Parts: sequence; structure tokens; C-alpha cells
Amino acid sequence: MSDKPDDLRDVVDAVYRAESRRVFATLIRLLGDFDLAEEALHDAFRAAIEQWPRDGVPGNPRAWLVSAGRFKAIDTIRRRARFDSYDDVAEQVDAIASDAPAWDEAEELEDDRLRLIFTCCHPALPPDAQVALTLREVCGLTTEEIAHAFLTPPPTLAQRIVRAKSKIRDARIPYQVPSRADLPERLDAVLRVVYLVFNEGYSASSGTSLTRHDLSAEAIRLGRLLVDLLPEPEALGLLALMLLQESRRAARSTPAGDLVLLDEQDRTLWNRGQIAEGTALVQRVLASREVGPYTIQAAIAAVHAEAAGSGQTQWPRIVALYDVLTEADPSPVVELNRAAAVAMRDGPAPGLALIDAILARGDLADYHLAHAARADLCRRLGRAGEARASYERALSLARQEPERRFLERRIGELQV
Amino acid sequence: MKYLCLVYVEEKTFDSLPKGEQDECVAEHLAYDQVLAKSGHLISTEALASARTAVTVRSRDGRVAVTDGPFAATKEQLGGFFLIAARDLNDAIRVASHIPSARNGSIEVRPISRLAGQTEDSSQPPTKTSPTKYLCLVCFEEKELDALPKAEWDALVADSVEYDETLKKSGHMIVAHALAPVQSATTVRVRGGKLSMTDGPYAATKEQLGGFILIAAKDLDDAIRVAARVPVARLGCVEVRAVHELTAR
Repeated sequence: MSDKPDDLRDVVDAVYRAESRRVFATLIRLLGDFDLAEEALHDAFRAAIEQWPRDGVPGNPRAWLVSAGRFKAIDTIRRRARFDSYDDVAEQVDAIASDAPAWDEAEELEDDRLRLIFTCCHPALPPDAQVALTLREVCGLTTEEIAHAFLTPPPTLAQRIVRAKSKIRDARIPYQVPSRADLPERLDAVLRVVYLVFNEGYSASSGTSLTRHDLSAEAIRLGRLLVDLLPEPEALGLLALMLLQESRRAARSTPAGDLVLLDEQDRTLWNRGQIAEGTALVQRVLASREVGPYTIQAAIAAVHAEAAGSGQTQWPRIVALYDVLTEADPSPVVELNRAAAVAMRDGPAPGLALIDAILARGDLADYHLAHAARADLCRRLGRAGEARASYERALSLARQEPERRFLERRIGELQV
Repeated sequence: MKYLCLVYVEEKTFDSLPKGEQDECVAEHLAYDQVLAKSGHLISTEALASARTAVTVRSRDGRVAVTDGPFAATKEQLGGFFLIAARDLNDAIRVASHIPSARNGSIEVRPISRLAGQTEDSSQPPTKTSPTKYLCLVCFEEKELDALPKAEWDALVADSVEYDETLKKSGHMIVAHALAPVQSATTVRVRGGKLSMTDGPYAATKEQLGGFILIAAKDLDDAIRVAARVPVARLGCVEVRAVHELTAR
């Protein structure tokens, strides 16, 4: 053996980073149990650390680890046999041992990752549990990292994960990619989790910004994985949307952490690589003619991205896209965004009328951005009193520090 | 003989100390660790993260239940401990749920805290590549255990010995011991430079378990001497428990 032990340790670490989530996903399928799979994964890597320096790194480390994990799990089940009825154990061991070695086919392995994503995002699980499970089991984050990023105490998050796993076991949630008929709805749930993770990292500027930024990166990684495994139009659309939003990260706040609105951002700070990738994805989906809400939102972001400044933005195109979005996925928030685009196209007064209509219906009364948008249009119309009242209402509802500072600044400017 | 010194202190009291005094207290502890290492007493010592980070794990009929917070011992007593290295809290909970006593008792899982000066950066959460240490406190009702028929007791001991082996093989195990019965405990306090001792375990009402020191000592007197010099014994108290080997009856 020419490899020194230290180098081999690095090799095992590298294999862990590259393969552990794949091996884990396959072990869950083979063993039918999250905890057993986690233990088997751990034992398999332990065995690798012991055996690879002696026997050399196997040609296919992934298959080696799956196989080692499987045998370790059989040992574990036998060891625990005295607490379970003998028949159950024999049956379980037989099932694991006799499974044809289909796992060395690359395709099957990738399917396992997809199975894992669909299981973690199963609609029978509470939404916060879907997020926690996906980040831990699919992305490989630790309980503490997830808790830190979501500003949740680790014991609370740990319990959420334990309960979700019990629920998967008790409700016999299947470990499979949904059938064609169920796919659109189930994929929606998965995309929602990915977007939630992204937004948690993107919009929340409270807490430790660094870790929260990692959440956005993690969501984009998940988005790419989904696109690789299941290139459905909306999966592409979501990845495009995340890339286009992420491209503005450096421009959307000052070094001091203050918020910078889109029309005031230094567009030279936008990440051109992400914009190019996101725009290409949008065009690919638009060409397929299967256009869903994520793709439309991505298309809107792409229109912003191609403009050299707010003045050069093609507002008529943005309003038209919002019209399509209102059809596809109607919601008061979409209407609000449309109203803001109308104000840019036609002037503040028509935009304000639209916002007032939404508020008059009783929608978005507690949504700070609705009041902030209204305040901004009143300000542009020179209606300072109304603007102040709306900014103050927005301030009373805003929870994030940079947003609060932004609103306070605007109120201050009114008084000058 | 091995003894486990359990260090209790009211977190509020410690947190309300001025920053300078807190740092001094930590420095004193680190210095005392060195003293004990030199004298050959020290086997293992750790400070625990706040009791607010605790979870309690029970396993009944193959189902795992996890509750928030430290275990409030009313009927059950601390009967042993495992110091483990785990990937994260859920990995630690999984390990704890398979400790044989989790089936009839409770396992309190407490993350180990890194004292300032022990590590470069304690503000970051543990990452996927560096395992974290957790202390699993094994609690059960001694009366119930004493009443077990011989065959069941022997099976429990065999399982426990085997699980120790499993955890050694998996790399989770750092150190684990069963404790001598709770009546053998002594609780030590130092106030105004004076040592006071009470028989029996410390009934924590306001104070929380903040750390432990596992020592090798000549006898209980030697262990009490070590415990009395634990800096935090001036603020809270130190419970001294002999470690014992699990054997078939």
C-alpha cells in the first residue's frame, strides 16, 4: 500500500462528503428504517476507516459501503433479536439479505435519493418537520445546524425529527417516487419545502446571517439535485427563480446590513453567472410551454435582471407576466406585486387604487409590505400624511431589523 | 477506585456573575483539570451546555419518546452515564434510545459545552464533519431494579455489557460507567472556605448539573478532597458517587 493512513483518512472523508447521502438513501430502501440506516451508514464508514488502509480503496466505494452497511444492519437486527419475536427478525433479515443486488445500478441509486426526498416531504408530515427532515437526511446538515439556522432550540428540532420518523414508520409512508398521477401534487410539496428553505436563508436577515446564507446555498443545491433527478418544468422554474434572486444578494443590503430596494441596487454587484444560468433555465421551460408559478416568477426576475437600471426595466412585460401569474396562482400577495408593477408602468395613482382595493377587501391587513408599498406610492403622489400613517402601520408589523430600519429611515425622510 | 463527581450549580447564579468573574471561574476550572491530570486523579471531565439544551429519552415497547428539558428525578435515580461522540443531537438520541435502561428508565441527553479557551470557536454550531460530545445520564428506579428476578437482571447486565461493546465498535463510546447505589452518595459544599458534607445524593431543586469529573481516587476520602477543591463547589455543590462494575448476581 502506498497510501499513508493520513491520506486514506482524507480519502474516506472525501467519500463521506460525496457519497454518504446517496449510500444512506439506498440503505433506507434496503433496511426500511431511518434509524437502522443511519446506524448502518455510520458502521459502514467505520469499517472503511479500518479496512481501506489494509485492503486498499475499493473500485466502487459506494457499492462497498452499501454492502458493508447492509451486513452491519443484519448484525444489529440479530443482536436486538432477543427483544423482538424471532419470526419478525428472521423475516427482516431474510428480506434484507435476499434483496437482489440491484443497488449497483446507478439509476436505482439516484432513484433512492429521489425516494428519500419524497418521503421527507410527504404531506402527512407537518411542514416544519418536512423542512427539518429534508435538511438533515437529504442534505446531511446536523440537528444543531438546522436549529441554529431556524433560530429554534435544538431539543425542539430534535423532537420534531424523532416524531416525523415515528410518523413515517407508523403511517407506513412508502419509500417511493409517487406515481405519474400523483406526481404534480407531490412535487409541489417538495418544491415548497425547497423554496421555504431558500427564503429562510434569503429574506431573514436576523440571526447569524452567515448560517442563514448557507440555507439558500443548500436550497439551490437541492434544487439542482431535483433538476438532475426529475427535470419537470416547475423544478427547473424553481431553480431558475432561486438563482435569479440569489444573484442580487450582494446588492440587496449595505455592508452595515441595511436594506437596498431593487431600483436603488448597484447592478454591477449582481452575479452574472447566476443570472445567465437562471435566464437559460427560464427560456428552456418557456419553450416547453408547461409554465407554472415558479417559472413565471423566475421569468419576472429575469426581466429585472436584463435591465441596466430601474428606468430601463420593461414594466409592461412584467405586468403581463403578473397577469399570467394571477391566472396560474392567484393570491393577494401576487396582486400586490402586480399593483407595484402597474405603478411603475402607469404611475403611482393607478397602482395605489389597486392596493387600496386589496386592503378594502380585508386582505393583507397584517402584511407589512402591503402598507410599505402603499406608503411609497402615497409618498410619490406627495400625500405625506397618508404615507406616514402607512409607513407607521408597516413598522408596527415588521419583524426584521433591516426592514424596520428601512421604514424608520423613510419616515424620517418624510419629516424633512 | 473510580468516582464520579457531579458538579451542580444554579445556572442563573453563574450567568449573573460579572463577565470577569465568569472567565476567572472557567480559568480556575481549566487549571484544576491540569492539577488533577498531574496528580493522576483525572480520567475524564466535561462541562455541560445549559440544562435548557437537555432532552430526555425513553424507549417503551420499541417506541422512542423524547421530551424537552432535563429529567426531573422524583422516583428515579442517576444510575450511570455514557459520554459519547455523536454526529448530532438526533444521533445522540438514537444511541441513547438503545441503552438497555432506556426501556425501563430514562436517559437524559446533555450536549457537552466547550469552555472558553478550550477551543477556537464555540459560537459556531457543530458541523457534519466534527462529532460533538454528549453526556447520557442513565436514570432508573433503583427499587425496581433491585426487585428484578435474577434471570432478568442477568439479561440486563449482559445487554449493557454488549451495548458498551457496540458503542466502542461504532466509535461513539468515550467513557461509560454504572454508579454505585444512590445511598452511597456524598454531597460536598464549600462556603466561606469551610467544607460541609451531607449523605445521599444532591436533590437538585434550583441548581442544575453543570459538569462532571471522573476521577481515580484511593478511597472516598481522597475523592471528597478532590471534590472540595472543585472551584464551583463554592457556588453550588459536588455530588460524589462511586463507580461500580456491572456483574451478574
